[in-house]
Amino acid sequence: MRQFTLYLVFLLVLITISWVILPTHYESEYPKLFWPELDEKIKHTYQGGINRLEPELVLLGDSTLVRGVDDIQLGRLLERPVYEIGYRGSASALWYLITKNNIVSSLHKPDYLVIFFRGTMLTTPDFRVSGEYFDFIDDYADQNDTVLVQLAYLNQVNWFQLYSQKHIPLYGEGIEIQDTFSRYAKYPVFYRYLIFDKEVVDEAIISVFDTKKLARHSADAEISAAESFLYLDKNLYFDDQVHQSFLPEIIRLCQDAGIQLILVQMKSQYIPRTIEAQSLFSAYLESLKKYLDENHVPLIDFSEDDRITEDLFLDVVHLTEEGKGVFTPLLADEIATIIE
Amino acid sequence: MSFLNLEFFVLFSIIFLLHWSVKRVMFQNFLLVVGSYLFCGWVHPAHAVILGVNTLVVYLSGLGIVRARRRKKLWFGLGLVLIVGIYIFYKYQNFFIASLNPESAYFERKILLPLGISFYTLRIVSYLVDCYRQEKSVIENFIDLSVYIAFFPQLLAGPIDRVGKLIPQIQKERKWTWGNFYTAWPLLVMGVFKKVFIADNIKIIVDKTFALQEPSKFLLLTGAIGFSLQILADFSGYTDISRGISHLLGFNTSQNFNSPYLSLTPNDFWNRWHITLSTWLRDYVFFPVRRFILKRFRNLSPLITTALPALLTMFISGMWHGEQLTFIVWGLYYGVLIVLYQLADLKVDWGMRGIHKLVLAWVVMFSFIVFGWMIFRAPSIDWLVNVLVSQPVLGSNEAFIVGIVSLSMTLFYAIPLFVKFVIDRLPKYSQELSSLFYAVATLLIVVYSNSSSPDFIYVQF
Repeated sequence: MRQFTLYLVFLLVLITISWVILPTHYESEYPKLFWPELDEKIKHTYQGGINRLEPELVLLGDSTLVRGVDDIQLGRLLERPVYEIGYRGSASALWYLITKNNIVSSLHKPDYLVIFFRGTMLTTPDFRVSGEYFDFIDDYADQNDTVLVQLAYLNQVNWFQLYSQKHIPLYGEGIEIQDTFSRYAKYPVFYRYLIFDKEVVDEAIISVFDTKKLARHSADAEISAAESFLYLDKNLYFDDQVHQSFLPEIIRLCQDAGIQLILVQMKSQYIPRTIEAQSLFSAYLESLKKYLDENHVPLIDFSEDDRITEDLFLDVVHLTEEGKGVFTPLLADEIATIIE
Repeated sequence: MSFLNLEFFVLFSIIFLLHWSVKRVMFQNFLLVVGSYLFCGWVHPAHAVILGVNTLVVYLSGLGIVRARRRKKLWFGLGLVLIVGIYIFYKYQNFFIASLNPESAYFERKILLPLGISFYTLRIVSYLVDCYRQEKSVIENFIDLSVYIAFFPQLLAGPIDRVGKLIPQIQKERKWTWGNFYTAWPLLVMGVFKKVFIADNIKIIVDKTFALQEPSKFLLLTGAIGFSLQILADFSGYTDISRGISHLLGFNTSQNFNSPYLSLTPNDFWNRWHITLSTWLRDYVFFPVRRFILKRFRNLSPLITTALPALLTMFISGMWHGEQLTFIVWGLYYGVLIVLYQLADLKVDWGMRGIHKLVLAWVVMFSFIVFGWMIFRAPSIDWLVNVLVSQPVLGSNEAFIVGIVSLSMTLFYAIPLFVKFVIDRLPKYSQELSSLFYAVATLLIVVYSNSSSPDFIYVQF
């Protein structure tokens, strides 16, 4: 009992000290507003490209678009100008931002916006919005974008986490403290004993762990681990997810701007781990199709297309150059039936 | 479900309150069974069904052994075949699929390994064997047996407690005392701390190292040292949480780790690492095999009678961890080490013959341990052989720097374990220092509570 009493006393003292020291050290005020620190700048990179090239079709997706579609060949096959926005590491949050702040806001409005997705990407607003992806979001987000903040961030924390973030400095500054420990772990040897500085260390880490140096099975495992998030049970109930996602907003933005949205479901080698998840995903797709029909959004579904064979894949989700050559004409045929 | 989930916290809170609200041990045990089956079947109800089927099979087999003595062997054999058969089916299905269809797709639609099956199968087998050897071991109360097999604090990753340890506690009346709590809280704090601060942080660079196609030997070595820390923190952390939760329910369960990296011989290591698995293997594989060989093959050379049981036992240990070749080679590696040390007559006391020998004994054994973890963690044997044979020692400047960073991170995240080790062994135990340590650990748990991956390493077995 004495030990537990001592433990409580020490805990109380340390928490009290942290309540004073941490806000001062990290220059924060409490209660802290739980709001991602977005800057006021918005990149208009693609807006410039759209205004300059005046495409009829804009393609939007992540690295699977970059590796999977030859936009020049597509334009030739469709006999229409095509502009590709393939943003590696993007997902629905970034697609919403680019649509809002670059595509519908451009002077030239394309006739069609074609978004390429996999799994439940369209209705998983918290996919690829934190960590290293936050910078991408920040680049294209307005500081006061309440839709983004609510769907991608606020909705993902429960009341306890929100309260802790706002009122408890130990929790609120948690990420900063973790970064501090991480720096002490990574760098201390260099400061005192060796001539390497922090920049050299960081460059070495980036160089050594470059994705090109991963073993194939490891790259696949990494991609699969990321993809598995899309097939978590919580993400597989379409009706629960859709109105908490960016999909309705993307549809609304396009409709308001007079742009016809087309969605393309890419084929993936990833299969949900369990039979239950597979059957939930099938039900999800049915609900998605019904929702898109109701909102007059055509869906091109390549997920079960036998013409895209396993040997055309570089890894779990990306196509090889040969795969790109096979897929682009197939895509052109499908898009042609919609736009003509 | 993991111990670090909100769902588990809610479930456990309900079980805890109800458990101590009812007076009769029969109702307490019933609650534990319900809680355990909920825990097991939370994500996949089928897992609870499989657990139930296993429990029923062993219950009936046990009764058959006692009540139909003339058919004792038949009941025992039938029970064993069914239990082990179910286990082999689920555990090694990928092996069978690949063997029958070598061109099967990289990602097969597969049935998930039932939660805890590797652990509760060992408990069931030991119970069945004990029943066969000593009929008085049979448990005629189905609920009591169900608690023993499905006991949720131990379901995911042990400890693998025996009937003799748990059943008396299951059958005895349990009353709440504050002693339960005072024993539990340091275990819970330490367990969570090891997981979220140590294991989860060192895991980052370890995973990246072993994901490389062709790391340098130095990078591989530093990754293996990091993994040595990761697996110790993760697994012993899990055990601490399990023991803490068990204490809160009035159960005193077995220790599973005893400073394993201080080992001086392979036998010493297996007496300190995953102790309950080692003793299980010793009692149900090693000794029976050795007795069988000595009895039936009296003329075999001492080398073989020494080597065979050890090699077979460690082979089974490797297989138990998984069907990948790396686990099997790892198991056999320890089997060979045990045999070599026995042949060289190097027992634990060889390190006690002077400080130099002690240091040498420890350095040698720790090197063997790290190399063993290198095999265990490697994505494949081919990969490991390629690195050890073909890759440069230091590699590029960048690889050398990253290796140093990896070592630096390992040393940094190992500091709390060193500090705890010293505090626990001070000439005069200081409650103040110990309490301060736990208070700091708790603060760090709060800080890191955002970013933990809740899956413990040994759960995948």
